[in-house]
Amino acid sequence: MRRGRDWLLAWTAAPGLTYLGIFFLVPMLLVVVFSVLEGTPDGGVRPSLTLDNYRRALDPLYLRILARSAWLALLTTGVSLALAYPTAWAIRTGSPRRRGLLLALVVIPSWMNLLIKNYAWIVILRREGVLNTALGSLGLIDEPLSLLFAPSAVLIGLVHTYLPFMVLPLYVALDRMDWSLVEAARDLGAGRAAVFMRVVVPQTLAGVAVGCTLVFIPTLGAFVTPDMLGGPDSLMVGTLIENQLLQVRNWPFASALAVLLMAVAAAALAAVRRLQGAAGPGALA
Amino acid sequence: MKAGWSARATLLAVLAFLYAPVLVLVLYSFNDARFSATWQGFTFGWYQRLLESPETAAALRSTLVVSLSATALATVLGTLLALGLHLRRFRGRATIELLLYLPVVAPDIVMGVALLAFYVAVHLPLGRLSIILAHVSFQIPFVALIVKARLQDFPAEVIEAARDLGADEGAMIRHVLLPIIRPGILAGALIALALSVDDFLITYFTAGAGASTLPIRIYSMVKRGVTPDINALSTLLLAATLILIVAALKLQKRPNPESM
Amino acid sequence: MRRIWLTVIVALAAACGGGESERPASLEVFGIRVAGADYGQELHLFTWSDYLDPELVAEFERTYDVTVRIDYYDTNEAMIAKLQAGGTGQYDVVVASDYAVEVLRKADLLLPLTHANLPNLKNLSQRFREAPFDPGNVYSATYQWGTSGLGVRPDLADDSTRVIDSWAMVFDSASAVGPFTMLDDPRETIGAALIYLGHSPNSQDDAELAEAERLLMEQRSRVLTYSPFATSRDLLASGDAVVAHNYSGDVLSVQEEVPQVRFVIPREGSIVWSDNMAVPKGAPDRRLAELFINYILDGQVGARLSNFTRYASPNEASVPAIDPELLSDRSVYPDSAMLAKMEFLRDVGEARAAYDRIWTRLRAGATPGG
Repeated sequence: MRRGRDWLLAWTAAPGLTYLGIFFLVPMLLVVVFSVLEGTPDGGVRPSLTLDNYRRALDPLYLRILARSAWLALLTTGVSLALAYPTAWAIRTGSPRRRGLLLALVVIPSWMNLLIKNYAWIVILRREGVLNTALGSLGLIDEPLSLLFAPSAVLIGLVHTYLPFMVLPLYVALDRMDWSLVEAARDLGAGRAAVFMRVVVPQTLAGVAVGCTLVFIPTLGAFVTPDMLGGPDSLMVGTLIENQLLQVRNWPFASALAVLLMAVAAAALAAVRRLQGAAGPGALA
Repeated sequence: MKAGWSARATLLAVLAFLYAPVLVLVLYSFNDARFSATWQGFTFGWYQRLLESPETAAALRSTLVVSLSATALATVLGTLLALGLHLRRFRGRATIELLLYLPVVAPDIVMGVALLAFYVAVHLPLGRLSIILAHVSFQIPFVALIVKARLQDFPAEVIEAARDLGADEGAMIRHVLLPIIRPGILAGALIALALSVDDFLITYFTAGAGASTLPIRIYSMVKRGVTPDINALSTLLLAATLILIVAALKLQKRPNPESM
Repeated sequence: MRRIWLTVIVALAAACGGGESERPASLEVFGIRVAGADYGQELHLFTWSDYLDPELVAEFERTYDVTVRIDYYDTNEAMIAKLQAGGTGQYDVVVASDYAVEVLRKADLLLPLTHANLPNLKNLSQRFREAPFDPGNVYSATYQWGTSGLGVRPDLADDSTRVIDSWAMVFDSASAVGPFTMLDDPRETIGAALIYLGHSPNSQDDAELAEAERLLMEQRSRVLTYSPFATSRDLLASGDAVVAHNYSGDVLSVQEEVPQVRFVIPREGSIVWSDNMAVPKGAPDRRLAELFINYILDGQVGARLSNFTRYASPNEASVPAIDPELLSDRSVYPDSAMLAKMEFLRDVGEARAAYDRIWTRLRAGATPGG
């Protein structure tokens, strides 16, 4: 019995970890090495160690870009959570026969190419676009709304892209939840709000945490959507890194920025886990 | 507890929001205009043009091979990883869990360039295989994280009970663990597939000559501005996906109403 | 579990496989005997999308009994990065813009062209045989060329009597005629500001660059968006933008749908660009690469190419066969007085960092000098 157990536990995590070690950590080590080298004007590197790239990354100009990206990612996560929770709830509590179809319907738009999707948003949001025409003919607005090429359009585009990443973990959490506790609380006369806050929310925190992470972290580095839908001053850290790598060909500085971005995200995650740990053991996956 | 009207209203609003650009896409795939600015009349021309393009067909084939094999591999590795992390308490586990998030946050372009440099250093020939290997590395964490969320609070006693009843490891996995985590695996695989199908930057850098996938084709076409036939292609792909999924759901015999 | 692995392995194997076929030992083409052993059977081309007439590809394949495989990039920068990170062994021919040829050459990523294999090189006009980024065609041969300038919708302009042939429409608020977009490209947009101020778009002078930065910062609040050329073209077509900073071909292509659209090269001057064929180091088949370059440089082939892309041809032998309408369009083929005021973008070397600082501050919403 004992031997069998060890056998099971020894092999399960190993292949995945080995894989990530080879195809993620090793290439990323290259990035870390690059980040402490000196760049040459021709886009190459000099084999001399320096921390200048990190010092430069802490310039207020770049910190401001990072802060703006973090704020946008936070906003996207909040809006996605607010929309995804009732959505997942309605799917899980609806007819069991429709669950699969509804989940598929939520996921399918995310298989649409990002560029194509953003072009469609331009058509919808522009001054004489679909939305303004519809609202105008309904008499809801007098002046067309200037949504496009502004933060609102970026938010709309990002929420659209990442919403399924929130709905799926929430649905999985709701599905795993012990629904008999909900019935029991109801039978004991608890109100809907109380049942939700005291019974449902604590049981789905792990799903909320995973969903928020899967939305917040990729949004932090997003650059296609801010580039296409954002206004003249919409530079995000993802675009900044891309510019440094492609336009300026300063690979060491781009590497330093990427390492910093990953460090910020890891720190945010560690903080969330500590908070969750304090709130209750095992609350976060 | 049934869904209240507000939750159902949100679901409908969310679906309307999610499908707004899809609707525009479908409509414009029939628009007799090259620059998708205004409605110029109905045409099937873009679909016809699409059928006559062997390059788009090759890119589509490449995308399917890459996405399906990468997703299959990542789903297996990610699920096993989640099981291992959940079932086994070992030192450094928390750190490993944190490290799992790094591929999620690593900027695509940096990861693409780093992987290319790595491939060149170890003499791994660029082709389709190199794209698949790259995709798996950013897909594993997504699958593992979602499966792990499903495993959360999974009572270890169930395993003990199964063992005490004499179940061997294989039987335990098949009959106890898998049914419980199946929705998590499916959700993880769906997200992994979505990521792979639409990945541009990492694919661009790790692709060998002749292995271009659809996103590479689309990016280069859209940047030059030949979009209507891409609208037509996207419409066909979305329709095919929808039909496949609906058919699969209809055909699926469901012994367990709790599953997806 | 085992079945899943098996499926994966089979899928991987299928992904890597490929068919091989026999080819003749030698053949005769246009009176020139081409030994089969000289070149392989697959040409790998790295270029922009929709930049090569499929009929020309088919003809080249038929004539030389080879298969052409085309891969696409979306920007010069992405192409350079792929080659620089080690992707060189993949392609036989890359198409690179003027300054990109210079960057690739400096990074030692190009093979010199074997002029003996390129008899058609003589068809290139003088301008492209002595181009500043590669004088004497040591590494590259021009494929197509064009200009950047302003796309205008005179029908939507606030005041249609205004002059519409000046950068003032976008840089001077008193001369504005309506909403406008600028290119999401640091060199093009900073270059336009430099030209409007009477400087070279390749300026490496700190004072001139600072002046351009002030102008761009002042302009920023009035810019609808900095957009890539395809978006900028669509916004001009839809009328969301009345003026759009863009490339000639992209603006002119809108005319088939919206005839009111005009392309103007501002009287202050503007930027001229060329795309060029080059052979990257480590090219699998250098001989076949040169065979292809020579084919494109043929007079008839060059004319068919230009008639397909609607861009200007660098090929003098092509002139008789080029669509006369295209040939007489002054916005496609500017006259020599205008050409004299146009410059190629050059790699600015160390000043690249200065250009980057301006661009980052501009796009980050920072204040001048901040």
